[in-house]
Amino acid sequence: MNFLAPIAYAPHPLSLEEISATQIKIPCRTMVELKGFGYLDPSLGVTDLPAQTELELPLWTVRALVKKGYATVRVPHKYGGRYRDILKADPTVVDLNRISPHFYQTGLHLAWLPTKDSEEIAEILPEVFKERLLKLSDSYGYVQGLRSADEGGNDSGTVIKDSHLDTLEKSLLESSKKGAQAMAMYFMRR
Amino acid sequence: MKVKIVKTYSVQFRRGSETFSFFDMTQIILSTCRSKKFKSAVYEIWECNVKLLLFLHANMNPSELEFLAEKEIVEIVPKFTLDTICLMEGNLGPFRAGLPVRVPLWVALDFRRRERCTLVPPDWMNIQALEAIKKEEKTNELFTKMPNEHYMAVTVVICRSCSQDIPDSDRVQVLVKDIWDNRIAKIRTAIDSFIKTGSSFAKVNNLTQMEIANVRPFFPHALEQIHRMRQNSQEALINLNNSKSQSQSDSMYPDSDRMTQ
Repeated sequence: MNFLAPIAYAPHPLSLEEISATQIKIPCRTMVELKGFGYLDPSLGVTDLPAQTELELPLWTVRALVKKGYATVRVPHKYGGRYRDILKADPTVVDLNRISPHFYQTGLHLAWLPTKDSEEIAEILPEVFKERLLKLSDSYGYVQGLRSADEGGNDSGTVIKDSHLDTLEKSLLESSKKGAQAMAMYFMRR
Repeated sequence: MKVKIVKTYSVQFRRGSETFSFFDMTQIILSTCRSKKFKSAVYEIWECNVKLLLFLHANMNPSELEFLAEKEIVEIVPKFTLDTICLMEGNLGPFRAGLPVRVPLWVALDFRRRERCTLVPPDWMNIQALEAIKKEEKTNELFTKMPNEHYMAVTVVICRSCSQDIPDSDRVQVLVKDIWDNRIAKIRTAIDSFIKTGSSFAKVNNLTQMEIANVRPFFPHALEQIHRMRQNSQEALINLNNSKSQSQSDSMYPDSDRMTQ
């Protein structure tokens, strides 16, 4: 029997999705001297990282540093003002994969950072997801791909190209496809 | 706190007069506990439990729904004579050749396959009745009451094995499929407007199980993600506002990570 139950996509703290979602490099500036962390910026060639160094560190390090007040952060370029404006204008045509493969997950993490733009990010995320969901909701029932004239690589039959989807949307799509396929197979098996 | 094992997969926590189920306890622990290790452990147990429960409980995929649909009562005209058969769920009445008798669908199918009876089509399985139902379905915005809880599965099953007994079985199948498509389309629009307006609940009547299974797993899955994102961003916003008013950030982090000091 098909095992169709979807386990909800709420990644475990140590799962691979979580790890890859927090890989994104955040530009930050150290406030105090970090002893022994000179290797983070090899161009300086010192053993201790001096204060006021501008660095790009992954999110999971930055969280720890910010919490202790050792660094201040800016929102990374990909989540910056220009991209946010595009998202606010029309989320359905944006290539989320290019911005970041785990767009929503990373966005949620970014929203917790004390930067100026975090509030906007926090507000935008659910709206973007909702808009794209509405666009995709028809195609979740299709089993085969729809081929339109200009979109060659549209295997899932969605209006948004496969490559433009974020991992969260992709996993939603996959589980819905399985359900739809089960229904179609049932009706075909006369 | 006393732990009392009630059933194999459910544990009860008791404190004074209050009883908490495992689910409640997990939620309480995950939201209030500060120890990361303990919380990960609880989270693991919770996940395993959920997976186990999902595995054990019947899934509503179409084959299983068809199995449930075969419990519907239909009428057959047996070609044999037999006394009452006693089964767990009830008695199958005395069979007299030529006299109609009501039995569950699975019995009817079994006899039919062995050519021991003929099936009497249910009252709704003819062209006139189905056309009336289809018309009503089209004109009504909401869902109308279907003649049978499992009309789709029953039709598929009957037309698959005993289509000779149903007059005009092709037309009948086409009509049922039309009604089905109509309702599915209504469900889709309902889901769309539900997501768009972001309402917290919607009341639908007269939906059959197989139609509900058609929108599963997309519908609850999608809504859960929306909810999760909203909740997370709300918490993030609150946290940001709090840390603006305080000089020190008394950080709480999202559901996926609670770091120790």
